[in-house]
This record gives sequence, structure tokens and C-alpha cells, in this order.
Amino acid sequence: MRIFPFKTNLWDRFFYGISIMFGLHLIWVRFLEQYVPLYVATVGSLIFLAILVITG
Amino acid sequence: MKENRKQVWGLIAPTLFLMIFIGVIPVIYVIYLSAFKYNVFAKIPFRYTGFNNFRKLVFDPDFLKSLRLGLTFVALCCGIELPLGLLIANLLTLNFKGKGIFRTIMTLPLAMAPISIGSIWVLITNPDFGPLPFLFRKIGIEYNMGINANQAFFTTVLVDIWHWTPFVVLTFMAGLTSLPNQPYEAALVDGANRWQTFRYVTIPLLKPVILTTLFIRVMDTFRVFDEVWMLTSGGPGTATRYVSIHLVRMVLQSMEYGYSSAMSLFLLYLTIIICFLLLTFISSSQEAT
Repeated sequence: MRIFPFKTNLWDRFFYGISIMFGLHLIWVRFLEQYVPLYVATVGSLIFLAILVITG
Repeated sequence: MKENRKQVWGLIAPTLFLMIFIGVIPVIYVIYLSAFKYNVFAKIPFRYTGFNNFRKLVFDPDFLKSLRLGLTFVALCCGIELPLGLLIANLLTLNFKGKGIFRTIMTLPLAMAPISIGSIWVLITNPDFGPLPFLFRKIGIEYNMGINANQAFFTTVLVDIWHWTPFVVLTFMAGLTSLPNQPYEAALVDGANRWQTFRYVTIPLLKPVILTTLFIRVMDTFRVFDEVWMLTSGGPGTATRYVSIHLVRMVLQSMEYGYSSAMSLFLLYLTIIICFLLLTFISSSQEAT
């Protein structure tokens, strides 16, 4: 099952993954950090990045 | 084969070197700086802070205000420039007297440097002798963008529209002249009127050009600097302090290099996201046509 609805190569997926990771961290810091530590976002987004790079 | 590969690398090496030198290395340096509190006048000028600059960024009311202002500026400028450009480009496909002169005069602002445009508009909007305040006074409106925040904001929008609509017109004209004739002939046979032809033939055929122009304009408008800096310097107060102006003020006045680096990285990120979304639209619309 693909995450993106369009064709991507490895570099694209890595780039989009990093961009999503950065955005997620910023949103986390702004709205969630006072309740849940930032490490949760880092671990979660790293897992997401791995899935994204593998499945596309 | 090996010789050929060497030749290829030899040919692209100068460009590659330039790209790395002026593109990649500065970005890496900015990423590095964004993790530090770097102020040359501080007691300890260089201190590692990790993600703290970004943490400060998302809670900084000045930055968030400038971002909101910048996005409003982009929406207003692109929202006016594109329909206006499309209208003028369509009018220029008709034959009328003085068309050539009109086209030449219309493209003149494009040939000017943005900083000169800022200086020209400083004179035009001068409350003592400028023609714009004079005209406004005639209709009973007191115009002074040095003290009125709304007037200053809308003047910067007006200047951007005045400067960049010709560019939009030129790209749309290039797009319109390259459209095929057959769909228009079919629309004529089907009895479509001028509006229907425009709505159901011209617009769909021109969609890739419209999206590409929007893409260029969004990027340019988002990082507008020279004209606004010359015209208002971000004032009065913070009424026209768009993101790039806020960034320059942070670097030049506050000397917060680390924080400014984080800010510019965030702007780069935002631009990439907007461009990515627009590019996805462009490629999907090109696949559809």
C-alpha cells in the first residue's frame, strides 16, 4: 500500500519524509510539548519516515 | 565508456561546483547556525541551544504577525494580479489602435529595478507633493501612509500589482498565442458565446500556464523586500513588516544570527511546502490535458 497518491523515487520519499518530520516537530512544540515530550514526536516521525521510505 | 563518463563529469563540474558553493554550503551553514544562540555582542557569543530557536520561533508574536501579514499580502497580490493579468492578456489578443504602444508602456515597470520602483512610489505617495495624496484629497480622503497602517499596507499591495501585473500579462499572452485553434472552432460550431468559450475552452487549456504563473508569483511575493523596504521600511509600526523585512531587521538590528537562521529555515520550509503543493497541482493538470 502506497502513502503518496503519485509516483516517487527514494530521494523524493526521503525529502518529503524529512519535511513532514520538521513540520510535525514544529506543530508538536507549539501545541503539544507541554503535555507530551518532544522525544515522542521524534520517535514517531522516525518510524513514519522509515515506513514512508520503504512503502512510498 | 569510461572516457565518456569523465567528459560528462568534466562538463558539469563547473556548474556543480558553483551550485555547491552558492547553494548547498550556505544552507548547511544556516542549518548549523540555527542550533546555536549566536550574538556577536553577547558575553558568550556562541552557545549551543538545540531546537530552542525553533521553540522560540513558534511562540514569537512578532514573527507570527509578520507571517500572517506576509500570507495576506501574497493572497491579495496573487488574487488581484492573476485575474487582472488574464483580463488584460485577453484584451490584448483583440486588434485595436495603439495596441503596440500600450504593450510597450505596460511592460516598462518590469524593466525597472525594484529598489527604483520603491523610490518612485515614495515620491508618488508623498503627503506634501505626491499625486496620489492629491487625488485622494480631491475625493475627500486624507491619505498619509506614514501614519495610517491600512493605507500603508494597501499601498504596498498596489505597488506590487503595478510592478508585476505586466509579467503575468506576458506569460498569459504567450500561453494564449500557443493555444490550438480546433477547440475554438468546435465551440463556434456548437454555438458557444464569448463568455462560454472563455470559461469552458480558454481557462481549461490555459490551466498549466495559470498554475505555473501562480507558482512563480507566490514565491516572489512571499519574499518581497526591496520595494517595501524602500517605501515603508516595514512601518508604520509593524503594518508592512512582512517576513523578509522582519528577518532582515532581526539580523541587522538585533544581531540574532542563530534565531534568524532558524527563521529563514522555516521560511524555506514554508516555500518548499507551498511550491510542492502547487507543483503537484501543475503536474496533475498537465496529465489531465
